[in-house]
Amino acid sequence: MGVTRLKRFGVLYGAVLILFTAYLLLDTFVIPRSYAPVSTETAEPLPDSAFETEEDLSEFDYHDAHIRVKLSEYREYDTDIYVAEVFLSSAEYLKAGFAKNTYGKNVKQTVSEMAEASGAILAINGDYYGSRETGYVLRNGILYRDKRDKTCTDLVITEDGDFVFLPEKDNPAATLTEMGAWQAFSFGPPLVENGEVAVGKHDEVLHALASNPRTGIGIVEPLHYFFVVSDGRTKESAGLSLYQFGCFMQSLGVSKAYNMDGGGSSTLVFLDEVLNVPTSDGVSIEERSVSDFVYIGY
Amino acid sequence: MSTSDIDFSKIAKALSRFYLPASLVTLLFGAVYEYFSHGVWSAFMVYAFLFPLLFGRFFWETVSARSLKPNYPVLFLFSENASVATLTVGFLVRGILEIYGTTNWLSPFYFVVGIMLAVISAAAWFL
Repeated sequence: MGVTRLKRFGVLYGAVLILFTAYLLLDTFVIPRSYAPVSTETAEPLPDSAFETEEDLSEFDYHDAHIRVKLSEYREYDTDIYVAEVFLSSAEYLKAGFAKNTYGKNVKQTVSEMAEASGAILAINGDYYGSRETGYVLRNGILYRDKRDKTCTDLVITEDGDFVFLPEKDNPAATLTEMGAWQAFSFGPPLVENGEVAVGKHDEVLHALASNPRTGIGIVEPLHYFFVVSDGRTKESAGLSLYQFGCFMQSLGVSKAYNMDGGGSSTLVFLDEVLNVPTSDGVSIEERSVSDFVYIGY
Repeated sequence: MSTSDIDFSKIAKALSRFYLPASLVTLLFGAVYEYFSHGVWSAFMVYAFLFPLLFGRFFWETVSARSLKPNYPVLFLFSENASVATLTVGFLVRGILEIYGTTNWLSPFYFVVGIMLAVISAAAWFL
């Protein structure tokens, strides 16, 4: 084999390496794959309300017989934080959905598009399950992915509306169905547990060091929740560290809180209006398309 | 396999020259990518440049300067360079995936193939 043939072989190997890399990146970020269509049936509201009827309803930004939502805006840690306090008569109105009603990979929509399509009253981004190949995915009582992510502690919302933190490394996917899980999200970490901040000052999602936009859900008691989204990466809002986010959630009085996908994904939609300032780069203010969302609705 | 027509010292010098800008480009790519990653840090992205620097530039510089061998098998020439290229690209790709917070089942292939090529090149060195 001479130098010329060696060069040819090297060029051939380089071409294979480039093509392989191109395919890998397309497979990761571009090529949509549908694994399962999802039923889009909406629940019929229960005939009677569980709420006390003599309460003053004027404080709520939305209320009906089964759902009450109160919005607030805070300024903490040089960051705008949007809070939706939610009261439900049943956990079945705390729902989750997939982009284009499809469980898959690289199937994406903005939260506002998904919220509009589902008639959501209130919506936030979910755990962006589609960007990973592992981590349990259980939505509206149906288990879609049972591949374990041993690094992840899930948020499980039970059928009665309570929150349970479930480390995947200790629990096979069958545990979710055995415990009657209504929703399971694989992101985290848990921010507040038993009313105490559960993250350290230097804890972060993977190797993220900077303050970021955040999305989280907290529970005061079953059927009483806080949906929280913070801005970040902009001149107006620095963003929160996980610890700051945990402290803020704790200040709301939640007993448990869980961190969802954040950064450019963080979005809060109320009655088809985006309330926060979603941005990936701090320059262009636009919603990121994601694979799933969590919402309050029928 | 005949190697009599190959000027190995010339090849070693050429490879040594090639790997310095290759290391700098890799370092620059990693630095720029990290700059725009909103503080998400990946060791794979940051240290990818070490492959072309250590196993490219420094290795071939040493081979060239010290004339460690009068000649070496063509198999070594191929597998050593292919190993460096594969591991460098593998680290960069793993860095991209890590910074985005995603995974791909194909990414381990870089490391499997890269290490296999490194083992082959080490064995071929002593042929």
